[in-house]
Amino acid sequence: MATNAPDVAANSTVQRILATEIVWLTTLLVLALACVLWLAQTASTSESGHRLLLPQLALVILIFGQTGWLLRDFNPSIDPRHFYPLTPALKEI
Amino acid sequence: MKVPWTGIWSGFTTLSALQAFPDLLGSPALPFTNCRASSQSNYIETNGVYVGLIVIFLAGLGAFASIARRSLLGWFFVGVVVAWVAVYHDLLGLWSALTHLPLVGLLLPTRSCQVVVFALSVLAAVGVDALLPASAPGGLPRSRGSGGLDDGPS
Repeated sequence: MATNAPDVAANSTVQRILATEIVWLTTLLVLALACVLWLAQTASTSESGHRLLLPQLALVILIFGQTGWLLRDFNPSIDPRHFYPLTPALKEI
Repeated sequence: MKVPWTGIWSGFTTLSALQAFPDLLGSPALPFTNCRASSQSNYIETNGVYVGLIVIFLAGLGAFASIARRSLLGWFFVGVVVAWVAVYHDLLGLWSALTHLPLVGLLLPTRSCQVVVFALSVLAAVGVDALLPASAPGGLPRSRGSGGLDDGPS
């Protein structure tokens, strides 16, 4: 899975993944700034808890998108061939 | 892969680009990882301090609001962030001096990311709170200072 190749950045797949992620994170940041403005605007015009809840909820979702969502494909389990390696010596036994 | 910014702004701003885009050197969740290209040894040490630009922005807002409100809680966490940055990056040789104390030399600054991540999270919450009017659910009363950023009732 992990390829520690020195020219990993030149790989077109890597470039595509990084470009997608940079666009994703930048978009979320812009949306979050809009949310902050929305929250400030709502807070200045209304003190209703329900109207204030929506921009706050949106902020929480956007923050999760910038952090937890990045690890959505992370599988911490270990491949059985690494956990129970069958070495040549073991194979002989 | 050579990391271009390490040679230019070594020390304080080393790997700061990873604060914005944490997977520039790959991650265990992607089909590539090359974290050894950084000065750290693995993904957690390279990106453990990542909280996202939104949280950093809100934390800045929170720090500003804390100063405006003269809030002790806010000042404490601003102090924690400043102290952590000074220790982590060995500014003014602070960490090198501290390691002469008994047991302190055994600690690893790269394993202390949770401290600053927690402080930034609290400051971000303070930043959001500064936008809310004091009468809103969860809104803190503006007991001292200028009353926050919203000019709401104090």
